[in-house]
Amino acid sequence: MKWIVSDFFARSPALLGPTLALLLFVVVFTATAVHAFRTQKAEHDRMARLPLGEDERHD
Amino acid sequence: MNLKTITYDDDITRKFVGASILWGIVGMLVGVIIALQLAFWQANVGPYLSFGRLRPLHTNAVIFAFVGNMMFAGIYYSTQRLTKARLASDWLSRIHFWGWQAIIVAAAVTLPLGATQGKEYAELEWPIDLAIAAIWLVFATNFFLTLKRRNEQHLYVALWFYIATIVTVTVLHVVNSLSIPVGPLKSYSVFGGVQDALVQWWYGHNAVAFFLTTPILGIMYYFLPKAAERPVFSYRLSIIHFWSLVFLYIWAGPHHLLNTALPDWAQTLGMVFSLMLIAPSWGGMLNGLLTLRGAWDKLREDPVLKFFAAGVTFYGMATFEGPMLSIKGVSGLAHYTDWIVAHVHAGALGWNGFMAAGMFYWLVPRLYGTKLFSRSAANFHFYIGTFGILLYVISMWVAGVTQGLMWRAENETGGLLYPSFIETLLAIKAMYWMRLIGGTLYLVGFIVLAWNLWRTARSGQPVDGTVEVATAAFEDDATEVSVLLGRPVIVTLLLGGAVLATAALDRVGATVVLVAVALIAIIMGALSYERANDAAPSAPAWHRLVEGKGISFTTLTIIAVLIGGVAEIVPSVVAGGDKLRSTSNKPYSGLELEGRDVFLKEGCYNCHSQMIRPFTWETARYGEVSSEDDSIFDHPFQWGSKRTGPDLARVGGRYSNLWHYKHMLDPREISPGSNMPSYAHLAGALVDFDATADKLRAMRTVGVPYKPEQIATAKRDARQAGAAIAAALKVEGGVEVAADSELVALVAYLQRLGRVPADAPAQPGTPAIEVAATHGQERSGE
Repeated sequence: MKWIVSDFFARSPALLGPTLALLLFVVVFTATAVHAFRTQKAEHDRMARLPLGEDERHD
Repeated sequence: MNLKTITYDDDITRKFVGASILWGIVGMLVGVIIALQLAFWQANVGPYLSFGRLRPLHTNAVIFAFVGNMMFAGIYYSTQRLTKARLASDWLSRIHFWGWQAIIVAAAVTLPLGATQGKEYAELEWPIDLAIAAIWLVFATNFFLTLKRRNEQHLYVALWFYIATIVTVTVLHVVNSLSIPVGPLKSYSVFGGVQDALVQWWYGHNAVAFFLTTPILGIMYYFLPKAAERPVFSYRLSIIHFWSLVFLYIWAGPHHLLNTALPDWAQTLGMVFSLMLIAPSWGGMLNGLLTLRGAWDKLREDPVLKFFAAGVTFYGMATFEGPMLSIKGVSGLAHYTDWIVAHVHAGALGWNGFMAAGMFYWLVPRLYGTKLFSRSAANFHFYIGTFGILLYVISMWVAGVTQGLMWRAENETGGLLYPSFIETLLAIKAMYWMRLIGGTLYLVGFIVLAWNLWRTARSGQPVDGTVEVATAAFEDDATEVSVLLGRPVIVTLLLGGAVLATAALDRVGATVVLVAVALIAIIMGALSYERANDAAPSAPAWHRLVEGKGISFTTLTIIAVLIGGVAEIVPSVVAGGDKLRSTSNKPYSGLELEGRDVFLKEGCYNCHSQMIRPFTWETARYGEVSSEDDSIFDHPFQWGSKRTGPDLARVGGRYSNLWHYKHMLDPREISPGSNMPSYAHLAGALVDFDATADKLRAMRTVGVPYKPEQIATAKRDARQAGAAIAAALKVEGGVEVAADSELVALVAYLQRLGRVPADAPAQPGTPAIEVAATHGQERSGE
């Protein structure tokens, strides 16, 4: 483990920032995915139909 | 609940549609002309219409004029419908429209005149950059004020993509355009060398991402369901698609700089994030295509759906090819070749062009209260356009792979099999003609679109949509602040901050262990806080609340985008100061700097790179591998992105001044078969040495270590150095040329490339050719 870590960061300590950002992305991605698939489909259906739900006249 | 009547401002949509079609024809026509110039050098007519000046005009016209106007049309039309509100201000809309057209005209005038910053897709000089920022602000204000007065609480997914576009383009444009003016139409980037490369391609790649992709995805999410008359395939997928795309895209810029002098960690970062981009890109592509489920039969009849389906398919192709090209090994073959041109045009012609066509064919009949004039003409446009794209892309694929393989081919003794660069150009000449035919067919199709929509508009009358809207209070009573400071955000930030703090205090190894622990904690925390209100299980989830809060949504989007930019660029900028102090390189002399400006003005970077990659076939052809140090004083950097001609990083001292002089006057006299334009006009054009001191002063402001005495004597030194080269040319070849000729300055610059002056200060007037070489080595001829 220690060798892997030292080898990884040997390229630049600046890799720490992107690594943390990547972890943050994983968190947000996971949470968003869980949210998306926990939400009832019916709830999304109304949102999905927003572009279609117009009763527009052209004067 | 009250009912009120809203009349949408569709006139602004009509204006932007018209402008997009007009500029589309202009931009594509210029594209056809420069394609002709590459195949037939005689098509370079005069200095103002040569390839180096027209190519930026083509890219700027199709990106910012054609797609820009198309994007504004789609955003204004759909935003009003999705928010059930008229645009906030008719005045702002008109300022936006006319301001944007004025910017385009300014670009169309200044680029052929040679006013350029020398940064691809960001060539426009500082006054125009300021105008772009101002007009973009007008657009943003109009858009966000419209969101504020909306009558539909939920922000549909298309609006998310518009928000991401507006905020990210603002950041990209401001940062990449930072420069020091030295005249009304001349400036130097505050970034230099590798920093500038990183910033420029962070901008350049994300111009593709947030100008050519996210707004068009928003348009796809609105217009495709409308045309297919069915809701988007998966709204869930669109949520994941959005957040993944905006977070990942911003990191991918360094894939344009693989195998260059960019630090290795940044290259790897760009490669990894580019590969990850396949997932959200294909998620979006599949979401678009599957929206057509049950409506595939309509494709046979409906040209709108034909264009949308093909456009989304091209998006899928381009977003598969892009990550593949971002693999270092593949990039080693493809970079600097026409393969990249093929990749770009699969996206530009197929995705942007076809999505625009689909939207226009759907929109214009509705904007004029009539039917499409000719469905068969639209179908003809589709087929000739598709054929044109295929001809274009296939020819450039073949050309690119041929180039890449020929550049690296070795003979039986291990030397270059094709040592002359011209051989590799002549081998693909037929492909250049094929590309020209493909591009011309595509343009013909687009002209048919213009004619068809013109006839459509004339057969109807301009009409504005009107709708009855219920103006009830929004469902939830959560405030923007409460959403923005919701528990998921706080928990994530606290844990992330704790990890970051540990990183500053502890050894790297320990940090990683902590990161792993924290990751689990963050995930658990985020999941457990997914509900906004534990006390009320029926309350909407936190993300659901965010979807109804414009400010919160925008803020979170900015954070997602900035994370990538900050983590990637800040380390390089911070380290830049140390490198400037420790470099062994020396700034350009006044004359060399003037020559460099001529190089930029003529757009030489469009065909010549200045970056020798760490491959044996590159060092054999061009010399020692380029280092960060080589370009440390280059504001802007000139690594290039395409080699229609050979790399110039170490061309200094390789040929005589007379060789360069003759080559510029008639490239084919020196290199038979070359497609380079003649630059004979430079011999008679004069450099204004009165401005040289100001240029050195500006460079000093951005960190180039010119001494005050160098600046004080800049004019005299430049003139003397020019006179020495002019005198040498007279001796060598009997050439009469003025000491302040632009051609003399350009020769001085070219002779400096790859070489650092000797420690002893050169005597005034010392010809560049006598400067000591420190990097050059013998290379095979070209």
